[in-house]
Amino acid sequence: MKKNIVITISENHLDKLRSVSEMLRHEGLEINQVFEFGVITGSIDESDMGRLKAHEEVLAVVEDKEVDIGPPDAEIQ
Amino acid sequence: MKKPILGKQTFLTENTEPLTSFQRFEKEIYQERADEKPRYTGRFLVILKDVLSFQMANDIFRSNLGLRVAHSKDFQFIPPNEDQLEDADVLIYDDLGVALVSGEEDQIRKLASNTEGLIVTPERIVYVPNDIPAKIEIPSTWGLEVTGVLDSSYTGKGIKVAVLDTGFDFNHPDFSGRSITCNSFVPNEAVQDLHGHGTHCIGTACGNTDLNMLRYGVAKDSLIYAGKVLNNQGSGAQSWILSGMTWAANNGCKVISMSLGSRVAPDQEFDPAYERAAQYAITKGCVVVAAAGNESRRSGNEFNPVGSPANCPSVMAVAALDSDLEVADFSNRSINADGKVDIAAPGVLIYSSWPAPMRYRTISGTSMAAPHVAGILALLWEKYPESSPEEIWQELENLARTLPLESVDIGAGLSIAP
Repeated sequence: MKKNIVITISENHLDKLRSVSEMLRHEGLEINQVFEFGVITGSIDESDMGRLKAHEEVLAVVEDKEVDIGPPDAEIQ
Repeated sequence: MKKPILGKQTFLTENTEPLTSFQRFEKEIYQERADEKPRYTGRFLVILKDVLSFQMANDIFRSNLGLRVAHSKDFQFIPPNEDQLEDADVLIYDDLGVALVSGEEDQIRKLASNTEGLIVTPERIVYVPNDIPAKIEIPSTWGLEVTGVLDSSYTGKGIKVAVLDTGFDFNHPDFSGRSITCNSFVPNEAVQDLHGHGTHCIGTACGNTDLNMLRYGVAKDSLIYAGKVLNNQGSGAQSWILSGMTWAANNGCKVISMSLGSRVAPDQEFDPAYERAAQYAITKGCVVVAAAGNESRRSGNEFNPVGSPANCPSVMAVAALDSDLEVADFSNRSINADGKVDIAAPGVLIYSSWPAPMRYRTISGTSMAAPHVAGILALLWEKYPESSPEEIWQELENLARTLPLESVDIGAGLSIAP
């Protein structure tokens, strides 16, 4: 199953963002967006997520969390 | 007639003192689960199956149980009112074939077990539905008073303030003539706010006065950047929020206000992607503010850590205070190593703009506290346009008023306008 993920690239590889994202694409990552501050969002098969983490250029791989506020009729938001 | 024992679901009856009643409401009601509310009044309804049982029941009430009986048909001109029933234990609704009985429990048991043709049920308490809370709409902008905004000569003039939320109601009359730049990062949804939360937060950070000239907004001359990163159901993906932060930073916004978040577990670390985005915004000359989160229930001794992204070191986490300058019951606390509360601001019973047809609404949350700080930051940027984001952050903390509360709850204290 494909998962939406957020990848943070480690600080000392920020200058190679383009080649890092190319490498991740080869690992099966469907890139959604590359942020110049070293964050890449995209989707990948759940089974392939582990392979991304193995690269030293990758600092963190997390699933795209849903962010919430209360429903409109809630008194506390 | 025994008086019914009733639960509470509304503070409408105490509407004359909204704040007191709201606090009582908070303590007594909102932390209580619905199934903990009393369900029965302690009285019983006896349903009479037919005319025969009707007469029989009447006899049983009077002779066997020694109860005093009143009939609804005795009240010919006015509907029966319980105040006039002090001398009766039973009220028979003749037209309905129903009797309200307030006898002792053993009498009721005897009635239920020995009598055919009767159905005995406990009288239920009827509640206002949970999802339509009673509202008090007495406008008060106490938040602008205690933060010194009303006395400040700064208005955030020319400062770009981004509010990343559910969008904005472009038809709101209070914002006609204002400079508003917007973008939606939510797929298939326009920026127009069909939730309300975004319009409320923008109102506090950047609004001015309502139709009666009551001021509710802090940076009333700021340039508004409305980024829609939460959909009309009030939820969003992290990637939308990262996009919104990048958009605001690249457009020269000096403040990003985020009244949003995900719950964080004790010992959970901050999210490096959010931290990176916040650092990027700082390099572009912007201060990032986020709500500390509403997961705590202090009155029930439940304290939860500052949520994400407010728990990032480069994001200013804002806690909520009430008008007595006490920590709001729901406001989160510094528990995890990095997730510190940095500052506190008004966040209980905050009056601000809301989409039509309501136009205004008074609600509570750390979501309401964060835009107060965002607005005050805009005033600081107006005063010190050449400063760095770090200097502005520091100045905000210097100006904060210390309170006799713990810094894990309020950080540097109550945010004060320059």
